[in-house]
Amino acid sequence: MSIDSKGLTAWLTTEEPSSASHAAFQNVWLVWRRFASNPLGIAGLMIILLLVFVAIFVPWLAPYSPFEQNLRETLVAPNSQHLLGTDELGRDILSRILWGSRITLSIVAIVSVIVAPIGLIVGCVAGYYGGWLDTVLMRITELFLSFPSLILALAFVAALGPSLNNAIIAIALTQWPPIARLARAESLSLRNRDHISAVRLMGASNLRIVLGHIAPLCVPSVIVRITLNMAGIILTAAGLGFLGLGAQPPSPEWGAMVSTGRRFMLDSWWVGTMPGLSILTVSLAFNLVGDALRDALDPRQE
Amino acid sequence: MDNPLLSVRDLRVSFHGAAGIFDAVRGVSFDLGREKLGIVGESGSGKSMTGRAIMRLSPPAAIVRAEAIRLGDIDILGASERTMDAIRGRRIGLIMQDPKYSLNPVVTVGEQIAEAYRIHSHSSTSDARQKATAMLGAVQIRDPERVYRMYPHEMSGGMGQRIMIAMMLVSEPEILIADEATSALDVTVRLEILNLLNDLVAKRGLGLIFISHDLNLVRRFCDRVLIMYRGRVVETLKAGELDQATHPYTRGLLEAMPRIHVPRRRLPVLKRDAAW
Amino acid sequence: MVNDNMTSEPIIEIQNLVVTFGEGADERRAVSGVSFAVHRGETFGLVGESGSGKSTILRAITGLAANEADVMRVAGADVRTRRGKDFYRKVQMVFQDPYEALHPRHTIWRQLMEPARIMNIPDAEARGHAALDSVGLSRALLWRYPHQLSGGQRQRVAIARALMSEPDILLLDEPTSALDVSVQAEILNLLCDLQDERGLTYLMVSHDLGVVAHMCKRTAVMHAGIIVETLDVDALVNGGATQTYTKRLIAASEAYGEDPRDIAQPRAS
Repeated sequence: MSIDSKGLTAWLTTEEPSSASHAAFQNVWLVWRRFASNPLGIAGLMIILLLVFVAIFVPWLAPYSPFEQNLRETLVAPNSQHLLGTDELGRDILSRILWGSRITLSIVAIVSVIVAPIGLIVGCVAGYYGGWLDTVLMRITELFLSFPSLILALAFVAALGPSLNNAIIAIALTQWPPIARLARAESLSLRNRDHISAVRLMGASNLRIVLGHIAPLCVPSVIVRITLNMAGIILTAAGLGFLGLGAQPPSPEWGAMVSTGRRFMLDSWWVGTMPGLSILTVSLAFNLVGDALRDALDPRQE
Repeated sequence: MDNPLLSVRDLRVSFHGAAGIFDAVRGVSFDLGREKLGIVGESGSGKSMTGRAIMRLSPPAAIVRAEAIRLGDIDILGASERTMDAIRGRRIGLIMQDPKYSLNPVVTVGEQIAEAYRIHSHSSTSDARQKATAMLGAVQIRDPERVYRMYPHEMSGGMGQRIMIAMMLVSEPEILIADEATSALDVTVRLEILNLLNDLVAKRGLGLIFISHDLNLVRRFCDRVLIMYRGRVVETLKAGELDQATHPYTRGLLEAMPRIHVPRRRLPVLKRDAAW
Repeated sequence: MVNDNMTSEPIIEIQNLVVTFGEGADERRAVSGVSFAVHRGETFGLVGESGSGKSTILRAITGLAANEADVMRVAGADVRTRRGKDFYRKVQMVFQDPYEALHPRHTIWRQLMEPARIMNIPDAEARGHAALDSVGLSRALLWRYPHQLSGGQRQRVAIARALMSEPDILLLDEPTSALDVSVQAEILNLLCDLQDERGLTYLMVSHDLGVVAHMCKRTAVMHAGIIVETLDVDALVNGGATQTYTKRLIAASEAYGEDPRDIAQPRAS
């Protein structure tokens, strides 16, 4: 620890925080410290940050346009001009993978933004209120859960028509039920806790209890679960792309790229392998971060 | 003390955490004979850590050092894991606060006791069964045959604790460590369990280490009391002479307890001294 | 204050309270027909062993446990059907485990402000500071989280929170049984002080006869969902109990509890 950071560290670790935001910073710092003690989690985080960086700065990073065809240089093996080779239309694979990061990242972001609130609210309401509301909500949830997620997504995309947006909606539809189940289980154990009873004894409305006291306490495990599900989301998106039901050509979606690469598997291994490795790396990174987050956010560690 | 069953010298347990080194036990020494030795202290006093260290059951993060922990002629600190396996449960038994966590939930309690006996004595299944049933009778369980076939979740707190005692005693240990063994029990049930422990110690000549936060209970039940505060033994007294305690911590604890027969408007509050 | 208790109107009056858990074959009566009255400014004890239904009575009064009763009047209002915000202003509860009773991710200050927000309490900040002062908590602790406090400090926060609405009645559910003896003494003293300052009425549940004898004037002894007997604590500790169960409870408490002989002449230290 350098001398410069001493003041900040002291501020972050003092026993007597001076304001609400100070206390909140300390809390974040504590979670970060626990997260940082997990080298695999840090490795995963680095990969994700790299992905975000690439997605933002790809116009300057990519050596070629992802769409520009060069039919004189099709299926070129990796070399100094094309670091990861070219595909059957002579497009630079590295550039396409870099541009594809935007698609992957937006799928992940949009799905999480749709899935987390739906799962959280459905689960918390079902768990807290119980009774017939619980029964109805959980039967609906189980209806979705009873299909393998790829099959369900396939059915939705088939009904809605193949496109990236429809793929995202389809994936979101398959991803909220596990979140709802998790949130329900947490709410069930929370609703009889004394601190919830204490709020009820203040005359708080049920809505206030669910939104203000139950749901926030379920958020950490939902975050962890969604992070761990990211890999599944990416793979489902890739799967849909592979089957031609997600992003449509010529968009550089990784799954679709693997799908094209399949045809040239034996002669030009790099066409399918490079996007495949990208999918693998990013899925793995999200899994590692999810595991590390689970440990860092677990209040039992305190 | 001549020929103590267990002898502990300068036991230290510390944890290295993010916030630096934390000393949970700071130099505890005592001898245990065929007696009821009470270890009393508040939370964080290191009383449970002391009990765990004797069985080498400290948490992995703990660093345990001592001049000596001797069980008869065995050096516990230097013993191999195999030797310890032979000691735990057979020469030293441990009874904890909640029997539910110590019993296998999917095996009947009778079979668990019989199993403990079989491991100890290498006897036949039917012998073990007989012995287990007899043991259930010895801990004053009515209808041992029926209880033999019951599962841990069907037990009340008091019954579960009797089962634990039966299981510990079946292998005829020399030492029994009871860590807050009666704290979760109602007073009437606690009375029965304590009477049972008392009889068993007297009959079998066991050494009992009774770890508790309850000074009143320990002074009435035990022969000798160690009072622990922040990892140190601040005072050792005969239980009957606890009133003559001189250490301000012991005195403060005694004063702070509400008394049924001496009404007081305010309870004296313990003043802690950093030097203790 | 104590003398005119018996003549005044009781602040809590309960007749034939029944609490049932479960349905059909699983139906179990936790409390079956309990009646008692608590007077303004007194501390009334409910003593019993686990499963006797003593805590359930507190939960029934607050509406946390569904119940039926012939009479249930609290602070002048019939609370058998609906409890308005007014009820919760007058009646607050302190729980056994202070860590469980506080929101794990709210700062101490937020714990205190939450009831103020819900009940629209005016001058919330001033009251919050006053509540902290009256439970003897330093302002330096304002922005800490419950896990950063000791057990005794947590229970003080829980009491301060209960005081925010300036209630008349505090329901105390084993408020010290999760605490060390020395901390218990501090909390019991604090409760006595608050009662003197604010004229609070306490309904206190405990399994510890020593605590009940220290705090209460009168107590009900509970066993298996009914009140075995209600008597003055003086009578309880001096052999005035008439029921077998009460006698057994006292005998068991004394057998491995304090020794009446050496306590008879308290030592001057």
